[in-house]
Order: sequence, then C-alpha cells, then structure tokens
Amino acid sequence: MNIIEISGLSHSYADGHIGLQQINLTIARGSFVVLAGANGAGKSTLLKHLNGLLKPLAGTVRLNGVPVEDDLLRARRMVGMVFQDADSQIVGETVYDDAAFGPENLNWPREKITESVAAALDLVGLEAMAERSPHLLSGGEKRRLAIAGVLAMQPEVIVLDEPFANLDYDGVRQILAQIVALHKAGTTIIVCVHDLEKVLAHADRLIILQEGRIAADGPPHQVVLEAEAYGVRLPAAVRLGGVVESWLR
Amino acid sequence: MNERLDLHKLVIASLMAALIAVGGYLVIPIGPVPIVLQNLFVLVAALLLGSSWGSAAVAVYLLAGAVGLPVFAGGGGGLGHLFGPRGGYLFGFLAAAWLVGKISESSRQQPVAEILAMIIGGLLIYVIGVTWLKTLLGISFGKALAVGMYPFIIGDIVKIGAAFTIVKSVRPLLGIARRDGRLATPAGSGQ
Amino acid sequence: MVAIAFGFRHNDTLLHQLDARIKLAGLVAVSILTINANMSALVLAFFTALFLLALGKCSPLRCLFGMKWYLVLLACVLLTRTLTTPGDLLIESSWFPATRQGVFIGLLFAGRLLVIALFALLVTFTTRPSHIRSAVAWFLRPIPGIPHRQVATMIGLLVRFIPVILTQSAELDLALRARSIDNRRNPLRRLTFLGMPLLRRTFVTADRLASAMEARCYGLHGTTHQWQVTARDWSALGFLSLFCFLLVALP
Repeated sequence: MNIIEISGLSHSYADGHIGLQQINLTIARGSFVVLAGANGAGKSTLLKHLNGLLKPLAGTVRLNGVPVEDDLLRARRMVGMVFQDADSQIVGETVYDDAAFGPENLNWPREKITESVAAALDLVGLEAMAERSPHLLSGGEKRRLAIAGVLAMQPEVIVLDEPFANLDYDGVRQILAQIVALHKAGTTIIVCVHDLEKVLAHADRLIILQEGRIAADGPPHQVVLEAEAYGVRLPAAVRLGGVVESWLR
Repeated sequence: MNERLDLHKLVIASLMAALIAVGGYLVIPIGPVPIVLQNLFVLVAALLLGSSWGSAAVAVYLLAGAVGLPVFAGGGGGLGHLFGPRGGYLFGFLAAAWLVGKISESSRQQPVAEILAMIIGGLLIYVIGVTWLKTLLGISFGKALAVGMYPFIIGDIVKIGAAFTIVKSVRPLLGIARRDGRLATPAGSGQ
Repeated sequence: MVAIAFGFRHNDTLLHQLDARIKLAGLVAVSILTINANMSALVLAFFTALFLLALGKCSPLRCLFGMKWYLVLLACVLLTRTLTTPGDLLIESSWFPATRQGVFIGLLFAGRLLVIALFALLVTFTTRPSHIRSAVAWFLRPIPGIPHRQVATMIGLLVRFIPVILTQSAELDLALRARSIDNRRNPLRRLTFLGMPLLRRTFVTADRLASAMEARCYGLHGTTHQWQVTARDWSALGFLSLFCFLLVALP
C-alpha cells in the first residue's frame, strides 16, 4: 500500500527559479527510499511539500489518500522531518524540553507526552542526558536529538535531509544505526543525500532528481550505475565493480 | 493575520533579543573606552523589526532577565540589574527601540530620518540612564554625565554609523525571507 | 559560556521542588519591598537569603562567580555614596572625604541591590528555565493584549540561542583575526565586519528555525504546564507573606 502519492507536482520560487516540474511519485509503506541529486536539484523543495511547509503550484501530495492541505496538522504529525542543520532546529532549553516541543504543540495530554518523549529519548540513547543543555551535546548527539524530537510525535514517515552532513565517522554510524532500526520497526524512511556511499547499502529504492525532475528511479543496484550522469558521485565500491557495503559492519 | 508571517517575525525577534544579550559580552577594544555592542544591536533591531517587534525583542530580553534567567552580561542579579546602576540604560533601550522603530516606519525608512532616529534614540537612552544614575548615586548632573555619558559618545557615533551600514546591507535579506514566506504559506494554516 | 555557568543546576532540595510561580512571585515581591527597605529589614533579608542559598545547596563560590561584575557596580555605588554624602568625616583628609553617614547610606543602597541579586540567583539556581517560562506565561495570562504563549516561546528561544550566538561570534572573531582585523584602525569598519555576518547568520538561523517549528506543529495552542500545588507550596506561600510583612513592618 502506498503511504505517499504525489501527482503532477510543480513548484517555483518567488524569484522565478523553478524548483520542481511535474513530479509523479508513489512511496510504499515501510520502504527505505534514498533521494539523491546535486545541490539545487530540488530535493529539499520536494521534501517540504510532504508536510505542507511549501504549497504546490500545481499537483497534489496525498498521505494515505488525504491531500496534505486538507489537514496540515495531521500531515506534520504523520511525516516527521529532520532538517540538515541540527543546531537551528533544536528549540528547547534542555534535551527533554526539545523532545516535548512537538507533542506539546499537538495538545496531547501531559501523561501521553511524558510517555512518548521518554520512549523517543530512549530509542536514540539520550535518556541519560534529558536535563542537559542541547548546546553542550556533540554533533551526533544533536542530530539524534533532532530525530527524537520528531519521533516523539509518533510519525509514520521519517524524512531526513542530509543526515550525515558534518558528522565524524562515529557520528555517521550512530545516525545510520538509528535510521536502520527505525526502518526495521516499520517506519517509512526517506533519506535525502548528495553522497550515496553511507546509506545505499540499506536502501530498497533510489530516486535521482535533476533540475526539478525525476531522472532515475528503481532498485539501488541498478539506478546507482546511472548516478554519475546526473551529478551524483558513483560510490567507489561500485566503480571497482563491487557493491556498496554497509557502514555498520 | 498570516500565521507563518507571524511565526517568522516571532523567531527573528527572539533571535534579535538573544543578539542583544550576546552584545553585552561583545567588546571591541578601541581607545581608552572599549565599545560594547549591546546598544548597537538595540538600534539594529528597532530599524529592522519596527517599533512593535523591535521593542518586543528588548522587552522579552528585560523580562527574561528580571525573572532570573541568565541573560544579563556581567552575571545574574534579576531585578537587581534593572534597579541597579545600569537599570536606567536598560529601560532606555526599551524606549529607544520603540521610538527609533516608530520614526523609521513613519518616514518609510529614509536614510536621513533613520540616522536622525538613531541619534534621538541614543540621546533618549542617556536621558533615562543618566537621570537614573544620578538618583541612585546621589551625585550632581555634571558628575553623572561625566561618568555615564561623555566617555561613550564617540563610540556611540561610530555605532550609529555601523548600525546604518549593517541595516542597509542586511535589510534585503529580511525582505526575501518575508516574501518567500508569504508565497510558501499554505492556504489553510490559519489553524 | 558565562551565560551557562550560572544557570540552573539539577538537585533535589526543598527549594528545587517548590512551585515556580511561588518562587517568581516571591522574587518580585521581595525585590520591590527590599528596594525601599530600612537597615534592620535589610539585615533580616540578607541573612534569609544566605540561609535559603544554603538550603538550596548553592555553593558560595558559584554565587560570587555568578555576579562578579555586578559586585563591581555595587562597590561603585558604595564608594560614591560614601564620598558624596555630607556629614561627620571619618578621617581628616581632603582627598578622601568619607563620612559616617555616607558609609551608612552607601551600605544601605548597595546592600539593597545585593540582597535583590541574591534572591534572583536563588531562583536562577533552583528553577528549571522551562518552569520559569511557564510561570511567566501563567502570570501574563490574565493580562489582555499580551499573547502569553508567544511570550513564553520567545523567552525559551532567547535562552536557547544565547550560547549558540555566543559561539558563532567567538568563531567569527577568530576568523576575522586570522585575517588580521587587528590591523584595521577604523572602528566603524571593525564594527560592521563583526555585526554584518552575525546578523546574516541570525537571519539564516531564523528562517530554518521557523520552518523547523512549523514542521513540528507550532501554533497558537499547545499543552500547558501542569502545576501541582502541594501542602508544601501553600506553607511556603505562608512563610513568604510573613517575610514580606516583616520587611515592611520592621522599625
């Protein structure tokens, strides 16, 4: 069953720059999709339509059959979005406050918030740091907190924009392990990257965007061969005739 | 009122308040009297955000400090800061932010009017600040001016120049963000 | 990082557990009464503050560190009052005209500000920032025309982003110095070189922050803080009223 259905989606910016042109796309529940493309290919623009942060110029985005604009609050709860810059999406003065920000905005009863936040912090391994100031966390921990802030809203889809940017090797492995675990638990995952190396081994679908259009779409091992033509670097292992290995090994 | 637009203003005003707080720590050592950047950011906030959001940014900064949150440079102290020797200047910031914003709005951001607004705003800070200092310390007006105003005048003239240059350069950025926001606002976000 | 150094620290004392609204109301009431207090009330308030600081397990060193510049200002108040108040000279010297009355007035004025600062530190050290924020929202709620939830959000963002902007400005300062900003004599240039990038970064952060808050459903309504008032809070309120009465009534 498809959790996300996008049909005829187009978007252009105020300065006339075209963001997306005629995107048609369905994403199956429980899948692990990697969205790749050069900078400015329209990845972030596409993602921001999934929870109504941007309004389509033409076309519709449906979540479980319901158009996003019909119920923005539902869309934003269903699609949890983790942005690239961890520091400017953490709102709370402490780790706990930040994770509770979304659920509080949803007007949930206090007990449900406490429960959901505890579960989310536990899942990303930050439960011992609940009282800390987010400013004192490491890069990897900040990103895990950003994920926890979204998890606390119990989303069905998690969208991550460049989740590995500016992380050291250990940080990358922590986040990757988190994403893989969430996928195993049944969450639909959409990861947006410009470098395939770190995540491709775990994906079951690869979509490449170029200049606001879908340039290639299919199983990773097939699509990856075309990557270079669309401005995405071919992983070294593929270049040497092998397959991309998981970074978790 | 447009929700997204409001949220954007709210976030910018909060960050300007944080910038005003940080400005208390930022010191440029030039000459015998170091230049503190705090009132520079007050002026910039007033010009960029206008009278209501500009003074809201200052008010939130003062309120947070008054209830004991660690926002005042030079240590904690809560209401003690507002009642203390610097208190007059802090209240002066609030009045100046509103006045400078008001003049800039009603003159449609004309350069001459904005510079004039900052001069009047700067003087307003001193009128309140020095009177306060005089009352608290029990000294004559002449002495209060000598310790509470004269040493900072040159720095303040430089700051008004800097504020003008900075505002001219970053104001377009604010405009783009606003236009983008309006375009991108989903129709049903009135909640 | 100074801003963090004198912030809240988690502990489990009686003061930490008290309702933040009572602590806040107490802080405001005591501050306003202290600003007009006479010497005997001031001495009482000073020792009460010390006792409460001990009760809240706030180390004296942290208190001193937390308000070191403020203490310098207080010393100025004491000194000017001592030297400018007319009265009986303490020592026969024309360049140090300290009077007995001056010392008394100076101690009174500086002492009042010191006591207010001590009570403020007490609240800062023993109350979680989010509780202070919720308490402010609670007090603002009955006032028409003030969007209390928005004010609380702004206070939260302010506290959250002070360390972020401090770090950014430190980075910026290093980057400028690496390119020999110290050689620039023109102070106008130096101010704009520091101020402009800081503001640009602030705008970028604000844009991202606004989207992130929107993505996490920030709106006009939300779950508010759940206050649990216990017998302990009521008795604290009783003690507070008594203390305020004493501040006014002491001769």
